[in-house]
Amino acid sequence: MTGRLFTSVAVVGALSLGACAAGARDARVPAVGLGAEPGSLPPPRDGGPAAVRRLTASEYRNCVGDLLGPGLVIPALEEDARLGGFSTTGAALVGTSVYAVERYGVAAGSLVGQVWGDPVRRRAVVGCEPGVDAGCARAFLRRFLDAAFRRAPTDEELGRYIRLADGPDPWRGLGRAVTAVLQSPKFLYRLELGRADTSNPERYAYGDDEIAARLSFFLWGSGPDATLRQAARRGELGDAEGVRRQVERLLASPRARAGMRNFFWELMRLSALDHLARELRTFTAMTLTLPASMQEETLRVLEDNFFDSQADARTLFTTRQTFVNAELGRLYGVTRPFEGADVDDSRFVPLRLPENSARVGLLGQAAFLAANAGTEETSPTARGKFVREVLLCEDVAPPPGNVDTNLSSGRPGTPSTLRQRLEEHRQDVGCARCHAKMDPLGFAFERFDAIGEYRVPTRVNPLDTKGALDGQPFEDAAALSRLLAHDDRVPACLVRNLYRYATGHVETPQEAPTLAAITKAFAASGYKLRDAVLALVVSAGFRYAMGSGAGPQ
Amino acid sequence: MKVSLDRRRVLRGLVAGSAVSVGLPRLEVMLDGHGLAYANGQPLPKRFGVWAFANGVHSDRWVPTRTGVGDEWQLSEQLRPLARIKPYLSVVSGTTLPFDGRPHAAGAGVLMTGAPLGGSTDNTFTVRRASIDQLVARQVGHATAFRSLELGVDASASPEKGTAFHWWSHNGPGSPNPCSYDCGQVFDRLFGRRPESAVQLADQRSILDAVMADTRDLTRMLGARDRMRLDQHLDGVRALEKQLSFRPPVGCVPPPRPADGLVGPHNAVDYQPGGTEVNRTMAQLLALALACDLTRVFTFQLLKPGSRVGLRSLGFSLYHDITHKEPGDQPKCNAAVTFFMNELAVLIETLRAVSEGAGNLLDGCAIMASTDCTHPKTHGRTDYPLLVIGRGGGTLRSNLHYQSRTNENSCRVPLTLARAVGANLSEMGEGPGRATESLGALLV
Repeated sequence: MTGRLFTSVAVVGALSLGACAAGARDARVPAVGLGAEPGSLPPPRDGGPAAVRRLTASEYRNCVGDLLGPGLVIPALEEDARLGGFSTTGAALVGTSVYAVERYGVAAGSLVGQVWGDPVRRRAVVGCEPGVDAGCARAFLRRFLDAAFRRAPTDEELGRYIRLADGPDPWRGLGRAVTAVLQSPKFLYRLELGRADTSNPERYAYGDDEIAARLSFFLWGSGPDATLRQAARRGELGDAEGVRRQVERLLASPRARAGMRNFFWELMRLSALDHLARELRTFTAMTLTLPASMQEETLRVLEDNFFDSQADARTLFTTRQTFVNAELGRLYGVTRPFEGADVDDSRFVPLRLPENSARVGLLGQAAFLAANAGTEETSPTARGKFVREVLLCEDVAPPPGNVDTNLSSGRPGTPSTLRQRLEEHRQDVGCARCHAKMDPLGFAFERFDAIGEYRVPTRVNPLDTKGALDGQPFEDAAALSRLLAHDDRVPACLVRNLYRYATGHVETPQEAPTLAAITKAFAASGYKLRDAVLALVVSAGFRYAMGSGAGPQ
Repeated sequence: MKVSLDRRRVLRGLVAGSAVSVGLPRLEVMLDGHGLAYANGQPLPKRFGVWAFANGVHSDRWVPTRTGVGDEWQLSEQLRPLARIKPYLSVVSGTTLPFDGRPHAAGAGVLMTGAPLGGSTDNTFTVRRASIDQLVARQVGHATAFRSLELGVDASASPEKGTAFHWWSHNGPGSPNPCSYDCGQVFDRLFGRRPESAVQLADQRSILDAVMADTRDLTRMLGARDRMRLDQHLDGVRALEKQLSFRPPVGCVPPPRPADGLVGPHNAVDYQPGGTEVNRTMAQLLALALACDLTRVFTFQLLKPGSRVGLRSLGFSLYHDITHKEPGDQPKCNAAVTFFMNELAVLIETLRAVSEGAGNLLDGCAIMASTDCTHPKTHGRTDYPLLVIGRGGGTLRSNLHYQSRTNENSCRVPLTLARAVGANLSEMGEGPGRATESLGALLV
């Protein structure tokens, strides 16, 4: 049913093969080899392996909010494992410890305690009076299981929970059932196993309920709402038009903003700012709240690009338009919008930085500059590593063992600027190969200190920002950002990250055609992030698994 | 020799400084005439433990100058805080932990599994095999309410990295056993949250029955890899069920609950004063858990690999960074190692203070204490820092400095200790870290 309706994407994928083959000759593009040498690689694959995904901590919180209402205190769960770079990729790999199971038990008990202890709240969740209204328990459980398991419960399941709820005290009984649902693996894990596709024995098509869950977890970070589940059961997610209609609806909700913020948060590695250690004596602009303000600036700019301005995503690197609150404004040397007694210091306002400002785009934001720095000094290595790994999707190997990763400390007779000391470090052949990829990019940002404040070069420390991106020279951070804005690797990498996050797996080389097709659609739209998402959700990689996750029946 | 009268005194005021009297399970009436076993002939339990701190040591100030037993060797400068427990301490020096790069994560992961790490980038580092504590727990953990217990003090680390960067204990690849950092939460796990009435117990049993039925439905549907993950979940549900009906032995009276918010320090938060109090309280909770036989296997992570904790009293705000940056003899880092050895001493002395049978808890323990590299500047792996604490129920020599002259594999130490507490293991690990032979010098 689903197979035939997505041919348009398959065609785009096929058309892009030529482009890939051409790209493979270009040293800057990772060679995928497709089409160049027929038969040299296994055939392209649609999607990754089917897998069971544990709800991430934030998905769990969102689902609980949907099921039991807002404002509950949710006990801490086991931390997510970010294996593969995202909580969602880790969710398909991580094992659940005994401690984690205990935490699910504690959380379920606490949540039901909070709701059941409040008759108004309890009544709002259940929607009827068990023991008084005929059929109340059964109707509620059918609805609740459907929402929690993201599919209709089987008769056996419904029977199991009705029996569990049975007893002299009907409310207490329903409390038992809900406590069990909240720690059932059918709620805690997303089962997306697919069904064999008759046209391709290796390929498994995700079912309607599974597609609904994939869409909703991707865009809202939570389970599908009743509208989406009903659309799935009417078969409306079986064609691209139907999917697009639902996706437009999901994207129009404020919940999509929260969902995409979660992606941006993980992509930009913003949790590194959660516990930022800076010496207050050295960094006088540092405050307790500044790291959170930095995170918010980056999220706002990305959210604005995705939902509001819907501008070419490449301009994220070159724009001087941003959002700041008073303390960020001070950090950036801007006070104007915050003058006057009645201005709320914490409120974010749009700000256009001067055209001659050294601070430009995402990489001029304090979040990137501060998160990728040391406690006292900047770290061109860490900043360069971020550009390589996050923006260009290149892996940089960690330092080998038994190697002194320490820089000389600038004693008399030894080099004294950070650049000189790092260059000395690169004399060592063991270190040179990786550092030569990272450091020259990182030097571009030397005019910004370890909390992202602009600093003026001196004769002793000229803060030389010149460098080269794989042979293309640049003068400073703004010029490097311009190079990145025009580098085809950047949108391709962004699509790759979006794909990893959305599908919850690190792509295999054989999925290159799918990725190329999405990237092509992204380019054709004028690099609108929203259109990359729309292309992604109807792509083969989102709709199919290669190899079933199901066991022998 | 019966010393039960002492126990009440020793445990008085153990938790959170409150004056409480805590009875212990192994009253003299339960023991044989010598206090070496239960009256019914059952031996006293043996316990396996791992204690970890971070960012290495300085071999020239860590390794004792002389080798031998008893008075033949003296503690080094960095080990001096352990003077009072020297009779229970052995030092192993001169071994090599064969890991390849992946600083900090590899030290912890390879020592615990004997196998190279899996994963290719920072955020994919995980172990390839179950860690040694879990291999032991699989064999001895069924007897207790908790198969194993993982406790931590310092919660600071780089958040984006793989599981081996955060946790020493793993069930397998991608499957860590994270530490609890919250003293109140640990107390609740050990002593609280038990159903108070028969009705509550029945409620909770029936809830877990439904959860288990649901879990079995799933395992029947899945392929091998995911089935393993769900089997592990089922294991956890079974553990919950066991805890429901578990009653601490007669006389094991829970102390008052530690205050809320007694949680270890996070990144850039100073270790003091919170960390010291959390360490002391966690040590007391662990002593009670062992004495009450709630678990026989533990991992105690004083610090996470590559810890970024601060200690401003010693002049630094980020431990990992200072171990790389401090020039010369690294006086600040040296002081930090000594400081953390003091914290270890607090734990070990707390265990020693609990009498059991003719001796104390340490007599039945085999604890490996180590860190995530040798010299932090180079993320060194030779002359790996390893301490052995406890007598393994009479299987381990103690008060010994053993120096390997042949660069023996460090992983032989955890294997030796696992066997000392009765785990039947023919080997541990794969590749260069694979260990098959015990380190004979440690054994009686």
